[in-house]
Formats: sequence, structure tokens, C-alpha cells
Amino acid sequence: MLKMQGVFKYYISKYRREYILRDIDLEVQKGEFVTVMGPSGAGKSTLLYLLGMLESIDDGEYLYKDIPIHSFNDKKRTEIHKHEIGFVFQQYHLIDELTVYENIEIPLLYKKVKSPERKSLVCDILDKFNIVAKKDLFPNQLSGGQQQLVGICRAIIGKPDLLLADEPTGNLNSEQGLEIMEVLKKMNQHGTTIIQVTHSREKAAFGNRIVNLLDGMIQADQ
Amino acid sequence: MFKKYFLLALRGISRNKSYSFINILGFALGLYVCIIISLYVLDDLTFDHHFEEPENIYRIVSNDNSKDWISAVTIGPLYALLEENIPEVTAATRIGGYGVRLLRNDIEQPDSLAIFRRALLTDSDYFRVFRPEIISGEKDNPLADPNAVYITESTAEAIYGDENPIGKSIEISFIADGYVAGIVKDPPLNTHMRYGAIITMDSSLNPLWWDSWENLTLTGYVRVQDNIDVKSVEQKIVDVARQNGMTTMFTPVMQPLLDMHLRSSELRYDAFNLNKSESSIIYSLIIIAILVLIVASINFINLSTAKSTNRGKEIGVRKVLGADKIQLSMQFLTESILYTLLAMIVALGAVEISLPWLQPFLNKPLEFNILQNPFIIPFALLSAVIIGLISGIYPSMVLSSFKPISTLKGEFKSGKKGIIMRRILVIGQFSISIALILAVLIVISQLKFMQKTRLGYNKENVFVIRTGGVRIDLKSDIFKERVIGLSAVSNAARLRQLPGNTLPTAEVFFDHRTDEIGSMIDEIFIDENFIDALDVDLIKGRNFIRGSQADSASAILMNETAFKMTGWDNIEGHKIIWVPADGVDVELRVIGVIRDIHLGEAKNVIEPMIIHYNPRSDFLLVRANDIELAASQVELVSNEFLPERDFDYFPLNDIFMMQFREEDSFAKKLAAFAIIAILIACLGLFALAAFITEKRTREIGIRKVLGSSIWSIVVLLTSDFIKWVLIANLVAWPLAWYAMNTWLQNFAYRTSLNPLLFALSGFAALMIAIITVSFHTIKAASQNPANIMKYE
Repeated sequence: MLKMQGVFKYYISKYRREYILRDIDLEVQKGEFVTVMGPSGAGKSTLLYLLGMLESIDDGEYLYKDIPIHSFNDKKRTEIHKHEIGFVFQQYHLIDELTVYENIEIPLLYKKVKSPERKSLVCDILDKFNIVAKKDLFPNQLSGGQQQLVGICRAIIGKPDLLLADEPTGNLNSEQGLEIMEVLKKMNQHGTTIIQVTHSREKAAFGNRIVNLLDGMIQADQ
Repeated sequence: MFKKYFLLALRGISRNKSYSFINILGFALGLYVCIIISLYVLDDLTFDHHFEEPENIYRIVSNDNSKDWISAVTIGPLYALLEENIPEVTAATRIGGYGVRLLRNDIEQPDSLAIFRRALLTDSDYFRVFRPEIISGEKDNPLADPNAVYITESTAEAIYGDENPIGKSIEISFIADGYVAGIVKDPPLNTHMRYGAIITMDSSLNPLWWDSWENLTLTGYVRVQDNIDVKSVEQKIVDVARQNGMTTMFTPVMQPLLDMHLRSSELRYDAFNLNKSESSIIYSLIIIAILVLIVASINFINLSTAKSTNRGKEIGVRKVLGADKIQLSMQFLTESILYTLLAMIVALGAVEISLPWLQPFLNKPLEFNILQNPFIIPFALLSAVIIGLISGIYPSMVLSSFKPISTLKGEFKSGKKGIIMRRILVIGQFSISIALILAVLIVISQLKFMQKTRLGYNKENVFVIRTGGVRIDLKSDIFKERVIGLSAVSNAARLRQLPGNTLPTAEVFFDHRTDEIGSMIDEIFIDENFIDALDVDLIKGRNFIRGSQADSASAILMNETAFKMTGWDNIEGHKIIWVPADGVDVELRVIGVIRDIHLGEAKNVIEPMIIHYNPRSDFLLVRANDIELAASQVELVSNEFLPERDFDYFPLNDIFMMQFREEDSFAKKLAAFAIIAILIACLGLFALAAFITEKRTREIGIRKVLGSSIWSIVVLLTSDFIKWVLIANLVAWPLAWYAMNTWLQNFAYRTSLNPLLFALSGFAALMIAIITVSFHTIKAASQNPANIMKYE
């Protein structure tokens, strides 16, 4: 599904290249649940954002569904974000001005889903995650775990084939964290490809593959 | 989708109350100015449009062949000939406008009060040229009977109340046995043809003026067929005029009726053209409206891009979730349109409420009925949408092009490009404000200059009463002597025409009569007291001698300019040949020369002038140290001599100032709009300063920890704004200089563009800017650094 070959990412600072990722070779198959691990500053999040096409690679090649991404223009990338990839963030990144219901609805609006269908989709997912009662609350009225649940609902409501999760449980206590991981695991069992970044071995265990990063290079891939 | 954006925008507005308030208030102020100016301009542009087929009506004015100007007046007898001799002319009429006294004259109401209205003295063709609607009474052949009087609805109501006035007798000046023949519809407010009554012009009452081929006193109009060739009709009119003996000094010219209001500023003797304006005022006002709107839009642009840093996360999330640029832009545009719509509602309400109070300031009776005029609301909303779109385009482009990842990682900073743009926009706002301040200062200094110009006579402590009238003419001398004898009066003199208006002219020759056209020269009529009473300098010869038949028949004074024009060394042994309208030349002796006095319009140059002796002039000028006391004494004398007239008096100073009405009201409008523009710019600067100081809170904290004083931080924060305002000065000065220099060309005597005014406007803008931002800078600088650092 995804294939990176010899990918580099760097920043220019004071006329020197500061490498964040070096020579990354990575291939992810459909249906996998991959965990990217490594210490702070190893480049885990950057790798995730490169895979999600939120950042551009500086060298090497990245094939998304067998198509090199440098052939994509802005519009195509927006289309992919709209239909194929879902994101979950450590800081949840819910929109504070919108209610739970409205936050979850956003991707459907951009996909131009008709209003009645939108309604039933959002209600289904609220029901599935047991947060119907919270639908009219604003994010700051929810606990961290609940916010992350909303974040996941929002990421998957468009039925993406790929879910990218950047430390989804990083800001949660262990009980909430485990719940979230269960949700992700269930989704993976239903066929969603998931790539998550985490510090925790325990959380990594929910996946079926671990990629270890150190100083921008892949150390191990099990 | 739009509903979603709309609700979202509404929620955003209610969430950020102070930010929304500043945005809406700024826009509302700008729109308020635009609506007021639009109403004003529309009123001027639709002036005289109420007549039927107004494009087919022309006024006949007269080109003065000896000067480079056009007189708005025309000769009387021409009009009877035009219709029969020129096929394109379907009707032609001449009009004199006079204030008249109307009184119902019947046994039913013997004690009714007189009312005063403007009457049109004209003929039945008036009804065919202008086609006023006759509501009741004789409709088919109006004014066929010379005693017929047509009055307007409002006049009828004022005199007869609810009674039916048709056929009732009416007492009115110029007509002996008047009766009400018909009621016409009231003219609208925006026409030069204002009147309360229409009566027949009996030219035998005043044959010298109204029935002469030489004298220009009336206003003439023709109605023509559709799509005529104006040049050829004009030529035919000239031909008819010449064949019948019109003086070759003047040539008839056709002026479209619809040009009268805005394109007559160069015309002389244009008193019939009531409330006339100038196209340059219209253009200036439109430019001001656009500038004010630009200032308001810049506020919105600056505030929404400055605030964009706070919205970075939202934009990033939306992009990650698949929003494309267009969808995001739509959202931001909906927001800006919502702001302008709300502002428009506020502005419409403010106009509706405030318009009655603005009447004296606007010098124009404007109407604004949101509910009665079905076009106002759709048009206003459409304009709001368009302004919202224009103002929203740049911010929506900036906001929708954020890179999502940088905002999500929290390392988002607004780019350098944005900051430069914001600086340019603030500089633009202040340039506009400074240029407007400058324009106001220059208009005011020109006004002051004209009012202080050396007049050659002393207008202080003088008041004027109107004495003209058949009854007093015979006793004019006795009346004046009685006035001079009053204890509070120091002197009194008579004058035919009040200062500040175009003077009448006469044709004269110096020493020898030739066959060519003579010199056209201003003339005034005074009595023997005038020179003393008004402190006029007599530099050669002598004054008129009281009661001298020889002086009133054949002696004149002249002004210095006229004396220079003659080229004489002395006045002795020279004569002037005066060619009056009725054609018999008169030889006049020049008995003295006075220093130039500026009795005409102050904005024009002093022309050569001769001064006749005429003890029976219309106005009595009374010099007194205590004007009120003197006036109360004069009133008693006046009541004795003129019992039928209500005594009234005007300080000469006020009469002199009347001629500056137009400039004065322009200056006031300019000043008011400039103040609003500055206010809007300050609102924007105030909010911008809040954002900028907030962004630098950390830096302020660190500086304070390192020992910086409050003062030096305030200076640091303020210096940026000062720089912008200084640059704005450099932009504004040349533009204002160019515009105001062009405006000053309208005046013969003009003030110099004082560099101090430029410095003053710049300084004023600077102070306003510093005061505006200091609220935030001082607040930020005096915070406890510990709090700041912890907060960070």
C-alpha cells in the first residue's frame, strides 16, 4: 500500500542541512497495524506526516498505492485527505468553536455528503462509541479520553483505508489509553490499515509490527 | 453548506466580542459615511429630473462676447418668436422669479394674514414647457386671463386651509385683481424651479427690463423635439434673435436643463438657479466615500490576518480533514460578508435615526425611507455583500494557504510577507487620514483668507435694512436723514446691491464713442454718504454732493482698476460715454477715483467699476456701535415710513459671509468625514496594537527581567507605529498638495500652501496614533515580568 525508498527529510538551518530522517526504506501492506517507536527527536512524527503527505520529502521516493506522490498536485492530495486517510493527534486538535457533533461532521461536509445521510452517519458513530449524550458539548467540556474518542470518530467517519495516529494516547491516563487502543485494534480487525507513533511498548503490543527509529534512521523492523 | 458557514461565523462573532465589535463598528462607520454621501450625491444627480422628458428642455443663457463668461439671464421678447420660427422648438417661455406677498382678499376672512412665497412671473407657455400637473381648476388654457393666479397645494393650504380656493379672489404683488384659477402640484425638493405661485408676466409693468432686446434680466427655457441637433437649433435661435434686433454683445446659448444644477458654477447672474451645486463637489464626495470605505476595509483585512495566528490550528485541522482551498475561502468569505451585513444594518439604522439632525450640516433636505423605497434594502444588502467579498478576498487567501502541518505542530508564525502587507495597509490608512486632514486645513485657510481679504470698505458695525419700494422712493432722503439723526446711529448710506453677488455691468467708452462694442464695466449705485459711512478711500477728486441734480445726471466716480484701464494721467478733461439699455448715450464726467472696493464675489478678481450717484437705492446701510440699540430705534422710524412692511435687519458681516456658504459647508462636510476616517483608522490601529503587543509579551518579560524600564519598553513598542505614520506623511503630502492646488485654482485670490499646515497634519496624525497605541503599550510594559514568564 505504501512504499518508501531512500527517503530523506532535512531542514536548512544556518546554511547546513539538519537531517531529520535519513535513507528510510519502509513498506506497509494493506491491513497492517504498524507501530513506530523511538526516543524523542528520532523523527517518528515527521515520518508519520510524510506518510500522510502533510509534509513533502526532500529526497528519495514514496509510492502511495503504487503511484509516486511527487506526481500529485495540491488538489489530488486534498482528495486523498478527504477520502483515504484519517488522522489522530496527540493533542486531539478538535475545533474549540464546534460541538462534538459538528467536529465529527466536518469531513462529511468537505466530502459533500448530503444532510440526511450525514446525520445518520454521525449518529451511528456517536452511538457506536457511546457518546451520544455528549454530542452537544464543546471540546473543553470533555475529558481527555473523551476528546480523543471524538478525534478518532472524526478521523474514521469518512471510512478511510489508512489511519495515521500520532501518539493517540500520549495525553491520556492508562485506563483511557487502553480503551483507545482497543478501539484502534477493533478497527484494524475490520480492515483499516493503521500506523501509530508511540513511546509505550505496552501500546505497541496492540499492533502487529514495530519499526524502531533512532536519529532519523530505521534501527529495527519486526 | 453556507448555512453551516453562516452559523459558524455567527458563533465566532459572538465569541470574540471585542474583536467583532471593532470590526463591525469600523465597517458601520464607513458605510454610514457612504450612505450619507450616496443620498447627497443621488439627490444632486436627480436634480430637476421630475419634469416630463427633462432631456428635451433647455435653458437659454447668453454668452457675453466682450468677456469670457456666460450670463444665465436672457432677453424677454425673444420667446414669443421661437416657436413659430423654429420647427424643432415646441414651446418657449421666459420667467422672472420674485418673492411675493399673498393675501386672500374676500369678505369671508377679512383679517387673514399675508404669506410670502416665491412666485414665477411667466406666461401660459410655461405650462407647455414644464408641464406642471394642474390638480384642479382651469387646465386647458392656463394664464390666458392676466388675472389668473395658479398656486401650489401647500400655498393653497396655507391661505385657505380646507376650503376650495378655486375662483376665490387673491391679493398678490404685480396683479391688481387676482383670483385663484388653479392648483398645481408642489414641486419636489430637489429642483431649481421652486415656487408657491405662478402668475402672468405683464411686461408693460416693466418694459425696460422685460420687453427690451437689450436688457438681460429674465430666465428663458425652450422645449424641443426628441433627438434634435442642438448646434443647428442654437444657430436658428441666434438668427431669430439677431433679425429682431438683439444686441450683438450677447449670443444665446442652449444649456440642457439637466446640466443646470451641476454645470453652472461658471455662470454669472445665476440667481434663478436655486440651490445649485458643482460637479467637483460631487466628485470630491464620491472620492471621500471610497477613501473612507477603503480605510474601513483595511481595518478588517488587518485584523483578520493578524488574528489568523489564533486560527492556525482550526485551519490546519480542517485541511487535514480534507478541506480544499476553495471550501476554506468560502468559509472566510462568508464570515467577512456577515460582518459587512451586520455593519450595514447598524449603518442603515444610524442613518435613519440621524438624518433629520444632519439637515443643517448637509445643507440639503434629504429623505431616507427604508420602508417606503423598495430599492434601498436590496441595494444596501447587495453592496454589503460586494464590500464583504472585496474585503474578504485577501484574508481568505492568506488564511486558506496556511501549511497545515506547521500549525498543528504548534510552530506556526505569521510570515514576513503578511507583516509587510499589514504595514503597507496601515500606512495606506494613515496616508488617507493625513491627506483628509490636510484638505480640511487648506479649505479652511482659503476660507479665512478670502474672508480677511482687503475689501476696501469697513463692513464691521454696519447693518442693512431693505427700503426699496414705491412708497418710500419719494421720501427716501427724509427717511435717511431721520435715521442719521437717531442717537445710536453714527452714519447711514444707500446702496443698490448687496455685496457678495455678481455686480451688474454697463457698456462704456472712454473719451470717444466708436462703432465697436465698448468696454463692459461693473457699475454700482450709491449716495453721498456711502464713502464716509463705509470708510472708503477717495484718492482723487471729490465725493458726490447731496441733492445735486448735476451729479446724479452726469457725474460718476470710478475705482482705481478702472482708472488704470483708461490710461489717463488725471481725471480732469476726460469723459465717459455710457451706453444704457435703451440706446441713448450719456456723457459722464469723472469727478473722483476711489481705492478698489471688493463688492462683488470675493472669489473673483476686482473688475473695473464706475459708481453712479443714485439717492434712491434699495438698501440702507446703517453704521452704529451698538447694532441692536440702533436697530430698535430705526424700527420706529421704519414703521412710520413703511407701515406695511415688517421691520427686519441684517448685519452687513452676515450678508458678506453668505457668499461663502458653499465653501463653508464643503469644509464642514470634509472635516466631518475626515474625522470619521481617522476614527476608523484608530479603531483598527487600537486592535492591531493589542495583537502586536500580545505577541511580544514574552519579549517584554525577558527585557524587564534584564532590567529594562517601563518607559524604554513603551518607546520600543511605539516606535514601529511612529515609523508607519511618518512614512504615511510622505505618501499623503504630495497627493494632498496636488489635489488642493487644483481646487485652489477656482479662486482668483488664493492662500499659499503653507508648509506649516503639512507639518501640522502630520503631527496631528502622529499624536493620534501614539495616543491610540499607548493604551496597549503602557499596559503591556507595566506588567509584572514574573506573571508574564509564568504565563508563557
